This record gives sequence, C-alpha cells and structure tokens, in this order.
Amino acid sequence: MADPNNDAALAGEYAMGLLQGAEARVFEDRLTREPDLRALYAAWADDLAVLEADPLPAPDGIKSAVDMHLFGPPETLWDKLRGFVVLGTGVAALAVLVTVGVQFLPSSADYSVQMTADNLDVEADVFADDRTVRVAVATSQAPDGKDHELWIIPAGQAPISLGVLKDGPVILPAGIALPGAVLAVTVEAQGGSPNGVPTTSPIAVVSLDAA
Amino acid sequence: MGESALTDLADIEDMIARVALGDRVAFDALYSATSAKLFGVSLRILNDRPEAEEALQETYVRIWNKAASYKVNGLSPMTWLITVARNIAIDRKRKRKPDTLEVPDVLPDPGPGPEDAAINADNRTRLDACLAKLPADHAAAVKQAYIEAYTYAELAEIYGVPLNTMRTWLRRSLIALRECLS
Repeated sequence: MADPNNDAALAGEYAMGLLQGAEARVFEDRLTREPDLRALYAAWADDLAVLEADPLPAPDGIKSAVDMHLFGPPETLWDKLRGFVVLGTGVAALAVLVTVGVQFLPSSADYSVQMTADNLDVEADVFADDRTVRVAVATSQAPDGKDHELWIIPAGQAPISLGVLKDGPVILPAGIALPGAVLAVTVEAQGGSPNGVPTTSPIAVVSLDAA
Repeated sequence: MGESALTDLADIEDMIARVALGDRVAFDALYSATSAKLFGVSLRILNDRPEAEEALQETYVRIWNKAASYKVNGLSPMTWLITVARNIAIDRKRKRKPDTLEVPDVLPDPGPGPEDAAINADNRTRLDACLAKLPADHAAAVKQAYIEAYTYAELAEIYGVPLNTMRTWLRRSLIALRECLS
C-alpha cells in the first residue's frame, strides 16, 4: 500500500485537514502502526505550521473559563495555597506564612507540627488512630474583635474547620486522609467564620507530609 | 511564534510534560506562552471573534486532557498545540450551516503576505521557495487549503474546477512540495 508519492500526498492532505470521514479514519489508523507515515505527517505539520497566523492576544477571561470548565469554581486562595504546599515549593514566597517542618516523634503522635506567625505560636500533635489533634497554644493574639481559626485541608479537598484556636484536643471528622493534608490558621470574625469556610488567607500553614 | 523570544521550544515541551502530570502552575504558564499564537490560529480559520474565543477555550481544555499523548505522533511541541487548535477550529467551521460559509469573491493574495509570522524565518523561506516552484495558482491553492482550512469542495468552487481536478492538482502539488522540502 505504501506508494511513497501517494503517502507524501496523503500525509500532506491529512496535515491540511483535507482528509475527511472514512479517509481520515483510515489514515489515522495507519498512523498508529506505521512510523514512517508518522514521520511524514510530522514533517508536513511542522513545515506547514510556518504559514500560521500572527499571534493575537486572547481576550481576558478565556483562561478562567477554561479553569472553570476543568477544575470547577474559581480558584480560591486556599486552592492556590494547597498547590504550593503539595508542590513543596513556593510557601516561602508567601511572606505572611511561616512553616515549620514536620517531625515524626518517637511518641505516639503521627505528626507533630508547629505554626508561627505574628502573634501566633502553636504546636499541634496529630494522632491518626484517635483522629485527634492536640493543640498547644503558646501565643494566639488575633486583632480586636477577631479570632484565630484552625483548619485542616485534606489533599484535594476544601478546608474543614477545627474551630476557634484554643488549647486542648480537637476531634477530626471521620474519613480524613492525613497524608498530604494541611493545617492552617486564619483570622476570622469572633467565634469563627460564620459560614464554615475561610474568609481570609491563612496566616500560617503546615503540611502533614513535609517531613 | 511571537513568544518564541521569551519561551523556547524546550520550555514549551517541558510545560506540556508537566501539564500531563496535572501541574496547574505549568498549565498557567503554557497558556501565557502560547494562547496568543493559538488564538491567531483559531481566528483565522473561523473568522469570527466570539467563535474563535470559544474554540480557544475548547483548545486548552483538550490540551489539558490530552497532554499525556502529545508525543504519540512525533510532532514538535508547538506544532502539536497548533494542530489541536486547528482541528478544533476546523471542526467548528465545518459544522456551520453551509449557507454561512463565505467563499471570497476575490482570491486572497497568494504571496507571503502579512501572515508572515514564521515559527522560524528559515523554515518559512524554505517553504516559500518550494511553493514558488509550483504553478502560481497551485501554490495559492495549497496555501489557502491550509490557511483557510478549505475543503476540496470549497476549493473546487473557488477555482471553478471539478472537485476531482482540484484534488489531483493539490496532490500533485503536495508531492512536488514534499520532494522540494525533503
């Protein structure tokens, strides 16, 4: 079947979008099996691409529409933050954030973390089996009329409130995957965020798998 | 590729590889580096701004979803992106009702023209030199077929020849071009 001239023309026709319907399907099927034909097609596609139009700045809003389609509602600061934490980079670039590495302790705590920021110094021991976070607050001075609120963000999920920051144990909701989860503190209205979702970006954040 | 001064092909290849792994930061960077080029591609084929914007959205959705398979056909990274944009724009154009197709009364200038935004000037010069060896109307038909994404039926109408004649012309031109380019 491989008349070289015929294939040269066929690959060119395909690269130009001139093959339609069954002819295009047959060609695509051959592409998956014939490396020479793939090379011929790639050569055509590269050669013809020089005919393409000048770049033209795309209007605003297209990328956010793409993201909305692929990833759901617009990214919040929390999503971005989670991205940073998961990547293990960039946290330092968020000047407001201070993170301290996680250490596995010989005690029964699965994770022992510290979060510090201006007017904030908290230690938290996380016990996976007991689904408990033991919080020890050294400093927690929220601005007047505000409270510090503690959150856990399981990997890829929305933040879950662990209540206004205070000394003592906090029970985690069932079914939370701790590896990759993030603990964070935000400044919220007195008594905590009224709607159960953070209303400000975190002042401190630490990942539970950063050890 | 206007952005080529800022973002070279290796960077784009790296971005695509990272997008394939679900890296949204890389996806943002890839969009910044390539959306103007791909918008140009979409708009020229569709010749309708709102539709080109929709096509561009669809293009980046597909790029995100298909990034893992971009190497399959051996295309260079920028060519792959252009091909995704082209295919989406062509599909949309051909799904339009036939009466909305605009067949120009006057043939567009077959010369190098203002679309001379070469991925790289050497390749453009090489292609133009090879096109120049074809009969002028054949060279123009090849360029139009690609640039405007015309079907054989449309080309036959524009050039006033039977469809089979059109296809014979074009295939003969492609064979000569391939020989010249290789």
